[in-house]
Amino acid sequence: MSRRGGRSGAVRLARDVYRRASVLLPREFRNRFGEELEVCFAAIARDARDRRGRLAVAWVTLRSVLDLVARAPRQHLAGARAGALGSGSGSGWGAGWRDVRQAARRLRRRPSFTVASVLTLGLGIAAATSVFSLVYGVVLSPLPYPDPGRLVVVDHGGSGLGIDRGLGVTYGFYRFYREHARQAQAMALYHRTALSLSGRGGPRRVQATEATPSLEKVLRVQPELGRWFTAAEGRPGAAPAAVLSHRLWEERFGGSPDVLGRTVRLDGRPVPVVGVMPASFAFPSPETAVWLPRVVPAAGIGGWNEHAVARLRPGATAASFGRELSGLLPLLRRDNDDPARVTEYLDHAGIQPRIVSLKQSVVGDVQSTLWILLGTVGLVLLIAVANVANLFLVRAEEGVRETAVRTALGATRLRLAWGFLAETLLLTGSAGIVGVGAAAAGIRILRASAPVNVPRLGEVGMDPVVLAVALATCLAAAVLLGVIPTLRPMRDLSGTLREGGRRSTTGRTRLRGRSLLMATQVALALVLLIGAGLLFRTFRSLRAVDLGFSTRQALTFTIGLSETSYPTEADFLRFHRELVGRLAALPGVEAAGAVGNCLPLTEGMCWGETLQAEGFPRPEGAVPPVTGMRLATPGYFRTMGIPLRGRGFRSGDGASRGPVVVLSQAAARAYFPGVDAVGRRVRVSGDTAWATVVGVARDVRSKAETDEFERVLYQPIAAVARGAKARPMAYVLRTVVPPTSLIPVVRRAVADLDPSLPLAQVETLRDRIDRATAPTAFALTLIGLAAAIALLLGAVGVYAVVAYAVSQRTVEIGVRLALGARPADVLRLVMRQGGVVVGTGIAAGLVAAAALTRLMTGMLYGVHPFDPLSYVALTALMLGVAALALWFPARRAARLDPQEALRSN
Amino acid sequence: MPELSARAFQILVSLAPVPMHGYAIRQEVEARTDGAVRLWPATLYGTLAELAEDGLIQETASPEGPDDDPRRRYYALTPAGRSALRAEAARLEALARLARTRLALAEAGA
Repeated sequence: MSRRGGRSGAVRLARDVYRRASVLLPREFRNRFGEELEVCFAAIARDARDRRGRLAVAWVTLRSVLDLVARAPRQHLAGARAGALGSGSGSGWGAGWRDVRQAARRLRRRPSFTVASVLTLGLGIAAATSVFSLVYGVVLSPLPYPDPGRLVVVDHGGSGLGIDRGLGVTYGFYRFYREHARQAQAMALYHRTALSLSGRGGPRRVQATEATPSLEKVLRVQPELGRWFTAAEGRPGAAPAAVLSHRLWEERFGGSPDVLGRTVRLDGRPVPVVGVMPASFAFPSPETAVWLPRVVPAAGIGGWNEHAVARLRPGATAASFGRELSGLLPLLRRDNDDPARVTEYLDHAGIQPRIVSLKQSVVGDVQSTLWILLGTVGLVLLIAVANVANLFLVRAEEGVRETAVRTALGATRLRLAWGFLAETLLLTGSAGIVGVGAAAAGIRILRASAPVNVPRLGEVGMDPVVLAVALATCLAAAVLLGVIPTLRPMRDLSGTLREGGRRSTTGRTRLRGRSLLMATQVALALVLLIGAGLLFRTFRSLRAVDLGFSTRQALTFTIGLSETSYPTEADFLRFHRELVGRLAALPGVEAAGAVGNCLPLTEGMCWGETLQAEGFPRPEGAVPPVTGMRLATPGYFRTMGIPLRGRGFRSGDGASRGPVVVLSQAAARAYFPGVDAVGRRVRVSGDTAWATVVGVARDVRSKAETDEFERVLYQPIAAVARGAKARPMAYVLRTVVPPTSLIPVVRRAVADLDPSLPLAQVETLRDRIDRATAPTAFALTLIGLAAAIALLLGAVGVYAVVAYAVSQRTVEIGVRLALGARPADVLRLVMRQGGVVVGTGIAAGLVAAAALTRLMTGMLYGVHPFDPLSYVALTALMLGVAALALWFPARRAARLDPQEALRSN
Repeated sequence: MPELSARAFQILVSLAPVPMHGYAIRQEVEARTDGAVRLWPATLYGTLAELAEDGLIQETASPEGPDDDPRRRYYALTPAGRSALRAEAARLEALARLARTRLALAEAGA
């Protein structure tokens, strides 16, 4: 009995499964055949059971369900065909599919509408997608390390120095934290440097990073070949070792695996290669070509501006880690063997740790600019959608009778909405394909044209997330477009039917929707125009800023002498004196000079010290301002065109008579308030000897966009300290011929002195300044482009709406003309009605611009966010363009022949 | 007259002598073709619907009388279905004749 019960249970179960599966078939089909289908299947299942057992029931069930699944689409199509011939109602998938095909047919019938919509939307989607890829790759996507949320940068600020952050770390602080901090799983110290790499094709300056072996534990990235540094290689006296970047490995060793154990010559020293990092590894920057072990001294505290990264233990946060480190600091007094420096750092400078996430530190300032750019292209996309929505409204009104008829015949509101939605889905789908294709090209252009200081550019691309967002954008646009036309036709169904085909005036409700869109477009375009205008003014001010030196006809380059080739102070001096002399003697060169460490407008920190001024003691406890230290050759001030009070350096300065220095005006003001500094004496804190101030040099801007003039102490090159000589010297040549034409002769002059010496950053001074303004130029170009597109689309939108309104009112205008209105009256009428809408848009745009441009304050320089000139000029531009867009259709209306117009019905 | 699909043809052949219900058609076709053609339910009724739509078959009263399972529906050929089946048979005959002639020619030539 039980056996038999089990068997019939199997059939019942199979029948149940089949019944459930049959919902895949269209409802009409199920109504007609559903019972039979089930009876038939049950008979098959019983038959199978009786003849071959339960397993056969499973088999026929599977086979029948597969048959059903395979058959269902055909049945839906058949239903759609039948429905198309029938009443036009119908429901379910078949009906839905039919609507899609009807939508495609409607679009094909209006190629100009379709092409215009697809291109407009495609443009908007392309712009939004490419800029989103930039934002995503740079700001949003996680860093390419395992568990990146736990990576933090250990930075310091000094309240006594007036520096909130950015000091980095010293090796003494690092050693101390590494030994005592519990919340960090691993911590690494590194700093960037540049080395001369000799080999085929002459010596080359490459970016290098010296990092402690623990970096591997912090970032958790393995070399693709060989190994990272061992702990032993990070201890004093270890044999040298180098890890190469993937790119350098390919360039220098052709990607050959036998690179391990071979050597590279760095600064003239052979260093064995122990590993190669993967191509994706870009720490701390993509330009890094070589990593070397950073040996942390066992004693001492060290200087600032090294960097530290840490991996936090689970549960620890940047804030809790910061509190832990702050709490540890008092222990440093006991722990360190240089208590005097520790006291100075902790008590006078007020050093405190500043912990930020690695991502925050990498992405930095650029993110606000990128978000603004994304907002900008978002506005362009909105304008594009508004434009297409406008076209749709026109279309919807043409189809309004069709809609009304279908509604009367019983089409549901949902069904009608689906019909419109199908159309918009097809349109936005096509626009999406166009847009994503164009975005792929756009991303390449963005990557190529973005300024060098945009981090993580290598990670920007068309990845799945970007594609998904593009898709979501298309869908959102489709829904927006699909919903707009369905909102209104429902309301006045009977009116529309009664009205029939007669069109004497355009219903006010209908125009209201389009006017709203038109005003929105004008408003958005004006916001973008004003944003672009403010950036343009910023760019102009940056270019016009008085840097304190002359940028005309000047060539600059950097030379770094290695300690192996130039071991003594005398070697260093001999080389630079000789080179300056030779360069100054070159035909076409007016003057030549060099400055140690930091040429104005270069990236990177300069060496800073605090000074003491003779006769101007600081109050007890007050920390003297930090002053940048620069070495200068005698010709430097003349070459740069920096005016001096007093005198500059002479060739004998620093060597024979007592030490002399030149102060910048800012430094002179800070240390000798209210008196002339020339002739007075200063000394670097900690030094014993006083130096005489022989001159005060005009302030020089270190960065174009900052208002701060840097305090600088210039020392003659002869006063070079032992530690300073490995640092690079920046050369400047003032020329009487085009500066770049001198590059070959300059190279030859350097090679005559030392053939293995590379020149770095060879460029004109002007180019160097342009690079400093590159971020603004980049943002300006993109926002300017967006504003131009917005203006164009806005104008087209205004034109389309007014032209359509005129065409709908042909009869009314004809009547007016026939009743004696002059063409000028008609022109005025159309212009006035359009003008009200444009004016509303402009007013809204001004309000929005005032609110939104405040977000841009960080990007602006030398111009107020409410700069009246930008507002007035660009409002006028918008008005002018809108008036033009109004005037064409208005003139057409005015020129109507009344008889023709009346007959056109 | 459009060509009939293989399935439609088999169904029409089944229905030629006597009206049948769906499951009987399936069994008849399966037996006659030695299991080569199996009509699973969705395909069977889908094809029946198409044939009915084209006017080749129609529903008919149960030949068993009112005692039969009321859920069973019987289908019979319409005159149009009969002539469609005849035309299809003629077409197949002509095709078969053509094939035989060609084969004979080839064998004679060889």
